[in-house]
Amino acid sequence: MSLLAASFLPLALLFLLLPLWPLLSRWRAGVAVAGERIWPIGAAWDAPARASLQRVQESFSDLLQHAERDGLIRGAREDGALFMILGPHDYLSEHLQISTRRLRTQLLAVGHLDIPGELICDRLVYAQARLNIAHNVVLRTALAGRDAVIGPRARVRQWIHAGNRLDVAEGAILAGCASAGQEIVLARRARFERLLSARIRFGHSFGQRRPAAPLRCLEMQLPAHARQMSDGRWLVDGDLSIPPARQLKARLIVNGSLLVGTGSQLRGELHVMGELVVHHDAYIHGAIQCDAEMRVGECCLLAGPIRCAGSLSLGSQTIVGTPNRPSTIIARQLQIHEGCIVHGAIHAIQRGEVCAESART
Amino acid sequence: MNGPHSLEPADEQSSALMAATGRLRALRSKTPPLTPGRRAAQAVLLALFISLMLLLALPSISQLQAQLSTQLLRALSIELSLVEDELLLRQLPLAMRFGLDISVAAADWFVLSLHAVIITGVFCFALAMRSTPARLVVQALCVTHGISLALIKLQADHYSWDVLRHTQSLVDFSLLWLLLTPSLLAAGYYLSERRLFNRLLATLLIIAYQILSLPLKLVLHCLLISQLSTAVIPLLFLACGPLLDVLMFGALYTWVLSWPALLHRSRRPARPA
Repeated sequence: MSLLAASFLPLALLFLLLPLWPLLSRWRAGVAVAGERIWPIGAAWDAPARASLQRVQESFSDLLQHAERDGLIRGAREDGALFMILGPHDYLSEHLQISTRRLRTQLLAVGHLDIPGELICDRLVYAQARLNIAHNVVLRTALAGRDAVIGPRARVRQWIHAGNRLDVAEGAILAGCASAGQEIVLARRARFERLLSARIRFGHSFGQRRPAAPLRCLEMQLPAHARQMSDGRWLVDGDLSIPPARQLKARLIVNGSLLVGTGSQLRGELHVMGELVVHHDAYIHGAIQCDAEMRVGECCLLAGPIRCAGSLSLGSQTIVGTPNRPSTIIARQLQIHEGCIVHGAIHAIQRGEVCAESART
Repeated sequence: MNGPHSLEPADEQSSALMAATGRLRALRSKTPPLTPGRRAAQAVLLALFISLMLLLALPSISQLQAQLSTQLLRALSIELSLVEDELLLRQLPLAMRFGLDISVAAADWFVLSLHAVIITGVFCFALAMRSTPARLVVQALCVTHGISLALIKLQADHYSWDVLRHTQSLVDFSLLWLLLTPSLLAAGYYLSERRLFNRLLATLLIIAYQILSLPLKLVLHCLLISQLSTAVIPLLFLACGPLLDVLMFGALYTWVLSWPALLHRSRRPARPA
């Protein structure tokens, strides 16, 4: 075969099979990141907060500079919305009447901003530096250039974003999305809906016991009634139990419930149609989808994204995702015990709560 | 306060644009939507129009394809004789049929044995493949080729399927498929797609692909037959013949179905500066 013929062959094949390209590209995209692509990615949750931050920085940059030099500025926008800009030496409580319970002005601060307790803020609250929100405050939206601290039983109704760290005290309620550039720390009995940060810590007891190092596990064989499907996954009809200290490398679909024993390792995607119970010190590397209730013991490592149609309970000291590969948790009801760390995003569709540290599952 | 709060001219412009948009929406809302019957009639008319245009252009298309095939084969230094044959369809006197004939030696005992050894090896290799669909496809191709080899060996006297008839069959099917394309699109795509520009561009794209792919396919078949002997003709016809045409049509059809509006008019008023 001549060189011309040899070069013609692949070119002709390429042209003839070109219509398959959109199909193949879509199929490859679906297979490569199946666990992350089909689920909502939390990266867009803080888009309103970032857009609002950009608007504030564009619209009020001149006024913020004036306030930094001259102190307090009060004014109104063309649409009639009132705003108040506090200078670095102004305190909000000095400029409020004692009887004020509800603030309908947009509140901006050049430096730190302390919001006194039991105040209701209906407009955006923005602090270039640190934002301290006292107890029982109700906020609609809040932006902090650096850190934000939410006091006990305070409530955020739409969203809050902190540039660095967001600290949420006991009993606070975060409706909507709470995001932070570096870290979110939630105390016990705090309730949340959507959280997004590089690291989300629950409670203050983290580090009491690190997750156990991977044990020298024995390989486990699938039961005889398991059968392989066309896409390479294994279908197990009925319940499945993985004994303690066993290792299983397979992509599984379990028709019943699944019990993962203490210290076991499971490498591969997992779809459980019944209840999923993971005992302590277990390690699951892969996406988890559970159609019923899911209970995870303490000191577990869950590397992949998790979607649970029922309630999900994470035991203390459990870690979800890694700093390099953030993960996503989506569950209808979410109970996370103190000491857990999640890297990535969390979405509790109905209710999310931080619970006190639990006993071993 | 100054700075971002002097927006009176922009507000006026914005309100004017909003009013204009409102009037436009009101006008659009008065236009009755097409009923399913009217939409079907529109699709049929469009398909008839495109089919008629194709029929008129079919001699030129055939001539272009024949010339392209000839030039490509000559460039690849393959000896050929172009055969212009009878009319494609009796009732379509404008159509022209052609076929390509190349000089290639008949498959002898050694070549058949070599093919048998190769397909046995490929079949064994396929047994170890993990992907089930790919394994089944490779195994099916091996079995097909094995059966055709056995028939060629056992029925050598009755095996009269040559390159000319093979290419003529490919041309027949491709031209027939080309003529059927507007009707197939009218049965599904034209009903679901309301935008005329999308319809026309998708039809043009599919027809252009079918016209250009035929010469390439013919030359590719001739090249493979000249290199691998006539024993591969049945395999090529089954795997890369009409089946490939239908498969590629399906791929293009699904792709154009997912197109968004290509000529999109923004209904939102422009943002004030």
